[in-house]
Order: sequence, then structure tokens, then C-alpha cells
Amino acid sequence: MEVLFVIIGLALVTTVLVLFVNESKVPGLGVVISVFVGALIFIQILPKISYVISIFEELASRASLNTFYLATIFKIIGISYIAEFGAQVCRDAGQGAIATKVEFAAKVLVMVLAVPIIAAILESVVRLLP
Amino acid sequence: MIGGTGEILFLTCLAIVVTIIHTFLKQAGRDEFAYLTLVLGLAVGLIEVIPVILDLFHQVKTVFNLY
Repeated sequence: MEVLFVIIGLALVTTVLVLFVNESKVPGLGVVISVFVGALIFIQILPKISYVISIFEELASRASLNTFYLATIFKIIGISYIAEFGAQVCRDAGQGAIATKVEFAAKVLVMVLAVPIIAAILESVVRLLP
Repeated sequence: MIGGTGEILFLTCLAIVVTIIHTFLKQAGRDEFAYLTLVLGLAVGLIEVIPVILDLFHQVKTVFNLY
């Protein structure tokens, strides 16, 4: 809970500072600062995500689930977080086209990760059919 | 308290100082040096920020088992 207040305070202060920097002669530094704060907030919140993930892994091992599927899901979540981060930064700086391409790349990578699972589902369906 | 709060203030101070130097040089008629200060300020800011982004990527890699 304390992390939330820290993050909100940091975000408020930074928003005002970025507004201020954008008025100066180097508006590029405003983008740099916003990227920096985004990375800081992400780094702050990552330990919590890792806690949740460890609990999910424990549950999966108790249910004797195949760890391959769970690992794939976590990889997909990680890819989406990072891609969202990058795309949001690009869009904030006014480069919507680059942001769209980043999201496209992330979607392709997620698809590549998901293909083995789809293949496994199809295989089991084929096995069910006579 | 998050480590790295000081760097935000540093970057803001950098923007202010670069703006002042830019205005000063422009008044003195040295437009090329004025532009160089802008580039230098941006480069210093990026050098300051890039290790943090690298750290973020490494942490995400370890948390989500992305290899």
C-alpha cells in the first residue's frame, strides 16, 4: 500500500516538471524524464508481480499442471507489459506510427508463443475424434 | 523513498541550464554553439536514463522468464 502513495507522489511531481520542461528549449528532455519515471514505477511494482507469479506457479505445481503452458502465459504477459510501455512512450512523443509497429511486433511474438498451445489443442481434438 | 528521485530533479535542472545557455549563446550570435548545447543536454539526459531502462528490461526478463 505504501508503494502506491510513493508512486502517485512521484507521478504528480513529474507531471508538473515535464509540463515545465516541455516549455523550455529542449522538449526532448521531457520525453526522457517521462520514460525514466515510467521505468522507475515499473521497477517498483515488479516485485509484487513476481510474488503473484510465484503463487500461481505453486498452485499450478499442486494441481500438477503442465508447467509449459504456465510459462507461456507468463511470457505473453511480460511481452505485453514491455510492449505497452514502449508503445505508450512512442505515442506520448507523438510517434503514433512507431507505436503501432511496436504493438504489431508484440502481437506477432505473442502469436509465435501461442502457436504450440493451439497445435496441442488441435492434436487432442484430433485424438478425440475417431 | 524511491532511488532515482534525484535524477528527475537533475534532468529538470539540466533542461533549465541548457535553456539558459542556449538563450545566452543565441543572444551572443553563436547559433551553432547554441544548437550544440541542445544536443549535448539531450545526450546527457539519455545517458542518465538508458541504464535504468536496461535494468527494467533485465528485471522483466527475470520475473517473466523471458529468455
